[in-house]
Amino acid sequence: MSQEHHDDDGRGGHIHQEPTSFFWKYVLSIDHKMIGKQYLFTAMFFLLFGGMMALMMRWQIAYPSQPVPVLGALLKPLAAEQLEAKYPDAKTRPKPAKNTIFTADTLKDGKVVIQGGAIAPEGYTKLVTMHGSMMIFFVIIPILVGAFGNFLIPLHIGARDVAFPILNALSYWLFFIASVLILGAFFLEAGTAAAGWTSYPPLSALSEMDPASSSGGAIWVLSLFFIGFSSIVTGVNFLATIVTMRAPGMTWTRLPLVTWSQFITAVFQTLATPVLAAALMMLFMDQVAGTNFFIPAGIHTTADEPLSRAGGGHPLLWQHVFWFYSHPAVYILILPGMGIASDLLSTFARKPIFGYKAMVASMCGIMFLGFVVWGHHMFLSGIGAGMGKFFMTTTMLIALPSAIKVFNWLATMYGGSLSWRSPGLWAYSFIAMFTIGGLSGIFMAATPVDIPMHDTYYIVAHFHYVVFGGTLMAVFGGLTFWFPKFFGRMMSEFWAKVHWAFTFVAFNLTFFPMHLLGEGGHMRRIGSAVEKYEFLQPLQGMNVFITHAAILLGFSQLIFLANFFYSMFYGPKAEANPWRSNTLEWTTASPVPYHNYDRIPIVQHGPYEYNAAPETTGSDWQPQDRQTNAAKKG
Amino acid sequence: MIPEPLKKFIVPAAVGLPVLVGIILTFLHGDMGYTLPNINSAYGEEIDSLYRIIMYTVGFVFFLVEGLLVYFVIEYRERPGRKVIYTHGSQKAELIWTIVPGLYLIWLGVYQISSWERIREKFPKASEGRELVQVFPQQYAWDFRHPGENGAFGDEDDWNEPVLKVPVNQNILLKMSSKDVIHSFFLPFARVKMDVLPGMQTRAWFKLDRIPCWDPKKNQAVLLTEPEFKSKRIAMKGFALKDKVRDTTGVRDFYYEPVPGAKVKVAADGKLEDFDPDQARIDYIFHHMDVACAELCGMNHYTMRAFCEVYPQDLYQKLVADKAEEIDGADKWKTIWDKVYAKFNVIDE
Repeated sequence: MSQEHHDDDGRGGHIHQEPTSFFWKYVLSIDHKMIGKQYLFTAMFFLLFGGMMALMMRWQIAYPSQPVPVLGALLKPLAAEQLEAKYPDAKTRPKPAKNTIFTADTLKDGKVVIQGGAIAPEGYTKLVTMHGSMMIFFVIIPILVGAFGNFLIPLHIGARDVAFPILNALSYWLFFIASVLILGAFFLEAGTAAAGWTSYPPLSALSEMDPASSSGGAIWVLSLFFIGFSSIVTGVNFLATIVTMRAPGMTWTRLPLVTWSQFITAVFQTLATPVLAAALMMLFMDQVAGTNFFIPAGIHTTADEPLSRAGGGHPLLWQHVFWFYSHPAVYILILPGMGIASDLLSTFARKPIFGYKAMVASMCGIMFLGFVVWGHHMFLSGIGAGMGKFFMTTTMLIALPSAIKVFNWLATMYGGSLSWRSPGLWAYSFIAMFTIGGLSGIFMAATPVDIPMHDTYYIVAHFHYVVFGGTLMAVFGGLTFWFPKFFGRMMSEFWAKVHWAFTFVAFNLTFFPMHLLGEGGHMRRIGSAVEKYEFLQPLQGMNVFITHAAILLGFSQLIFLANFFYSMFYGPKAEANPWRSNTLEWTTASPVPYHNYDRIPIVQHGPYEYNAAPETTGSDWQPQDRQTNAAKKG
Repeated sequence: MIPEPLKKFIVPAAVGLPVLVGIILTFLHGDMGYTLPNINSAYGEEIDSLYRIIMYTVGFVFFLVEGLLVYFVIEYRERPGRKVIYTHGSQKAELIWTIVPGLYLIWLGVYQISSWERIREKFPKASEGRELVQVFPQQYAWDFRHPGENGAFGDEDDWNEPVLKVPVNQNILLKMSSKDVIHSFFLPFARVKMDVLPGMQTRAWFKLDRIPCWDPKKNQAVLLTEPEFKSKRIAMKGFALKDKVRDTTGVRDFYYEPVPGAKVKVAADGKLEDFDPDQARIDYIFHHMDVACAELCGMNHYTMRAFCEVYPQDLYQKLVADKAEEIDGADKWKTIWDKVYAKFNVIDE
């Protein structure tokens, strides 16, 4: 039975009936909220998977050649002698696996003399590649844009859905296909790609250089191709939604910063991702079709044999085209987190965001400058020194908008009434950790200092501080905060605080020492460096410490998972606005009904009118659709 | 216990003292922690000094920001009667914290441009005295070729080794191309790093002012200046480096052992002589420093280490002369480099 409603604004829209079948409601849904949840659960799976790979890497670094506890015994391949014993018939016996992540047992006279289950040297390069690729493309971008963006944008602007709901569903299913591909690569004979998430050719293009390049590497490329299109489609969708579907009164200066950050992110996604698609297409052709976009003439194999390829390409071409996308990508990784932190901060400080226009201008500054800094990843790649000067200048400049934002956040906290409830703790932690990550970036922007720092753990420390310490902490805060809207229940505040405390401490114990490793010259993407390098011996103690801290960090996330999934079913039922927050999503029920709003709201003022005139209005918060003379109109 | 008028200083003191300690520790950091030796007399100190300047300024900002943050979280925490300052911002504040960091960043950018030019553009010319070395990495080894006494590459005079052998206090100019994938030449003690790509040439230069040696009494590496080297008795040949794994973390203890049956050659007073254990002592053993590959280049990237040996000038001349007498067989320099990278053999600078 369909119900026809007409909106008060005379737009004549009608509310669609929610689908009743399981398939259309949960699987092929076109509802932005359900699509957001689909992204969220898929990304959470990859967070666990990618995190597990990081722990395996850390194990190898701290205890080279030692079997990985539990996983090693479960996942190690069988040695040749063990295969003979298990499959007596030579005709049906599988061959010993090559290019595996774990080592097999070493046997002598039928007895195991060296336990297998350690990370094989070639396994480490696969782990580091997959960890990076998964965390960036399959965790952070899907959670920030696919989950939070999808769920919140229509709610924040007072719309019933995004501009193109069916395209939105396509976006998720492209992501799903990409997920299947990237996981499938683990089952290939040569295994997954192993050239790092940056996949520099010729290593990533030629199977003579890495056995997996034309199989696992090609699958990696295809997977990213699908996920890139998912990203572009979402970007177009969000731009159209935010530009055309804002509720009456929702002017650009009344948008929550979450939505502003999603808008800027959508610009990056739409304009930069196609360039990645072009790079991927060229790499794919080099991998499987014998082209030479990135292969110069004269390359020889280890056996001193010349490659039978004409060459004529250039490895730097990949780096330019890849980083032209991937630098904006790192802003995709942080901007929505900044938006979430801003909204959380204002709510939990009970104060307007200090300098709303400056915050928006900073994000716009990041948007413009973000397209002209990519060369700072290539200071030592062989680009000319003049190009280095240009990119040094732009990179120095882009530090400024982020600094302005940190000062504005601090000023927001000044004189507020700061709640210590867990979303607030996450917001304060975001500012603290992002500051560290941002400041360490200045060292690398100074090109002479980048010489010893490049390709060391200093870089690893820097980006983990901004992406984990920044974005992921904002994500944890956002999930706790918007949990009532997602699922109609509250997460346990006690266990959220326990999770926050363990994560905050363990995160800093894990990643701060990496700055010191980098100062000591410890290279990145290198397992078992202690086995070879004399100058790294004094740093091994620190490596072991970091591994222990990382294990604590990894297991601490189980607290969050338990809290999240238990609360989804058994948490206390949430009221419409448990946080007394101003933005539009809190004016509707928890969980959000299918049609979002019974009536499209009419926006009266900005989103951060906390404590505008508590004596007059009787409360310290003003929902955006409530008219009041005391609030600044914005 | 604490007088009432002083109670309001508890939180600022509890936050401010660690901030002050932190700022002091930042300024001391250059002399503690995991800083590497720096033996590049060409520009090594420029890099380290720029690092320290950024550390002091950035460290100050870090402690200020984090200190204020922690202070605000405690001082302005939610409690009954807390009155919030309602404000949307201040243009004056915005201008201050835009202009001041902006000026700092512009100053930093301008300050370091001359260093960057010196390191990346002003390579030492032949007239300034330099040692040219071609670098040819592959999966997973390094090889280094010298032009020999005639100074030209691609002829019988050249000599190559998988060990980088260079003279002390002399400009060294590396000209590098890869055999297969992208590698990265990294000499940590000299702050030298540069990617090495197939199909093109990259360059790096440096000058080392100390010689790595090994102290057999303390069982650790030492760095000697050329005069210090000459005033000591250094075993140049006859010892082999060994290592022993200490525990499951893989950390190794290094030590030198005499090679059974080998003649020990000692450098003393600028001469090489046979070592007589009854007559003389050995102060140090000739050692090396690590050359690393800093770009993921394949499965065994972690094994791609080479050594760099630094020689006093006179011993280096002797080394070059001895190398001229060796007859090199066909190797990948002749079979690959001289064909593929013939144009890089031309010395035009």
